[in-house]
Amino acid sequence: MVSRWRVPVGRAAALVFLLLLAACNAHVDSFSASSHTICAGQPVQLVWKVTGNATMTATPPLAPLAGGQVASEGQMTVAPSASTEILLQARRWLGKSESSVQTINVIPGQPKVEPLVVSLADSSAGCASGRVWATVHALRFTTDVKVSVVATHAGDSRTYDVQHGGASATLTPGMTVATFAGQPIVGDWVLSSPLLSGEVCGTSALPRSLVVDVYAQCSPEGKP
Amino acid sequence: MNPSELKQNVDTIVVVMMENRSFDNVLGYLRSPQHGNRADVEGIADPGDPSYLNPNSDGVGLAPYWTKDGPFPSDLPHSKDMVATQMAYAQVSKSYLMNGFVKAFEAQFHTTLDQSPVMGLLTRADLPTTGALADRYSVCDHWFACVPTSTAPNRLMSMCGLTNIDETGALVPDQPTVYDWLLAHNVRWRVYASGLPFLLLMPRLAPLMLTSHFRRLDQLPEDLASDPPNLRPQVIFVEPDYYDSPIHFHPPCDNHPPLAMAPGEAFLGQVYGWLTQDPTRWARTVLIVTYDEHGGFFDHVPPRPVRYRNPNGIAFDTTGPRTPTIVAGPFAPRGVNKTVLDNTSILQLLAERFGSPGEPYSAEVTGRTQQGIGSVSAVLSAAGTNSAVAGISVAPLAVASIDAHAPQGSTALRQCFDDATRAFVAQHQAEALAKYPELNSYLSG
Repeated sequence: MVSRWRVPVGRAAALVFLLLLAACNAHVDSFSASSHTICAGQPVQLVWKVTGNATMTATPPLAPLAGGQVASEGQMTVAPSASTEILLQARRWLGKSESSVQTINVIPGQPKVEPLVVSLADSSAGCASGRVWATVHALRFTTDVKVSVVATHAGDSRTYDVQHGGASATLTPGMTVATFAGQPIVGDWVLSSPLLSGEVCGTSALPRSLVVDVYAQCSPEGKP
Repeated sequence: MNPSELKQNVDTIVVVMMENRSFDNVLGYLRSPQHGNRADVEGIADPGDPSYLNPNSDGVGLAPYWTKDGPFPSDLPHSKDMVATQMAYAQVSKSYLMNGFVKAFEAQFHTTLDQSPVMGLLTRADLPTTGALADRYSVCDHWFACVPTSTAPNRLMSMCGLTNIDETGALVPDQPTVYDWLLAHNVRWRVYASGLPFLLLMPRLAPLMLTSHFRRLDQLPEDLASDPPNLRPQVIFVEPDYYDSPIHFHPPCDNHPPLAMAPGEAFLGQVYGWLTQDPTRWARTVLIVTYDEHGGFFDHVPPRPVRYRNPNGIAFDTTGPRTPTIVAGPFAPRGVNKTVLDNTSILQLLAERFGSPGEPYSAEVTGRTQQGIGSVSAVLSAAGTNSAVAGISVAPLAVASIDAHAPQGSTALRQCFDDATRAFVAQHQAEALAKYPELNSYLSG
């Protein structure tokens, strides 16, 4: 016969065991990089907080992270000269480990295409008077990452009116414009597009997102 | 196939429910000219299609990409909140845009990558079993997860037709299950579990787990060969060894990230091989290979508006994203089926086959039927002419090749399993340990 106490005691033991296990688990509470797209050698501030012991490693290696071990909470500046993945691992004795990765892209010598995209689920999206619009919030590009040219995305048949940094341009499918050359990519890009045949505001016939290809480069003149 | 044709032709219905993959992740390749070249399948014709771009938190679009099978560093986001982010409802178009998968991943894991694992698309080369079944039988490209949330509510919907929870996180509540329905209808049924059965998480069912209804996977081929016809189970649930289980009798093989697909492919291939061993029996079998939910992987097809409400306040307005479901067997025509289905479609099928004429499975399942969720019977053809067996070549699943104590990552579901396992042994000590002797070492470890 099963004791009346056996089940509660067993459950209590299991609960204690689970609480102990949970207490042992490491966790990445936060990990961020001030910039994800930079010019070679520019500083990027990393900020992190983990529960447990933290190690940070970079691929390819970066000098400040040679030791691996870092404080469980802190910040550090790195200056990659090539695109780098920075891995933060949280560990605790007996518990499971957890890791996060921040990728820092270094713009190479040639312009690199960045498809700037905004979902129409974004709060900036709107649709009226035969047009649909939304704003891409281009974040975590350093100000030295400049626009070379702007083009429509391959396979996109829309026409766009584009506004960024006080300038504006109209992009038809297949078109490339140098209107924004030399401006920092970071900031808001307002995209507005006439509705295509069959598209109706307030219906699922609208596009899912608006997109333009921005070619990023690090030369200050921003020449194509 | 109508109910009388089902009763006339189908002796055995086999259900294998895997874990956490989206249709596009597993079978999206079928549409691609270079990988599957099947224009009839609602998959990924071109990953470069701008409508598939998912913005990351910097405003940069990430496209889906062809990838190789392999393990992941972690699970992927698929809680209720995260699924809402992924499905991305837009006021401006009153529709779900399916472009929040990257943002959900970045938010949950504080991770930014140029190629987000949620956007990966597998190809035929890494799917020796699923790919072969997709080539041979009915691909259901409008089969959705029942509800837009995580494992436990979706498995409850699948196995009960209703859920009293909307998130995974504790032992599952006591609900009437498909096992109760089958018992009430005098249907012979069994569960063959590669590891611990999922509904161990429902404490009321623990005594049932100790009966001969629940068997070890390794017993399946022997039973298939030796059961006399009048004792053969009419419904068989085959369960993989769950990644989130705290103890494994086989390598975990449910396809739940961080697992790769390879162990699950071996498991499925082995099960298919056993089921097709006897051509006479296979000729009267329907095999359904499905998933509980999408697991956080990108899928481009918006969910269906299926409203679900229950008296406990559980509320959903849509299905979840699609899952890669295949219906196999001689009655499953080679090709693609466009019927809108979810895992409650299996319950409809059971009612049609084993219920009284016109008897629905339950009011809840009927509620879904009335909102457009069909039955698996819509996939089946009474002609039963698809009798050739798919050629599948995978290595059999190894037995107990991993440390039973190996921590598999602490997730809400794993904690539920651990709690349920300990309660199971506490309540049914001798019988539980006799049936699952591996639990001895787990509990003393």
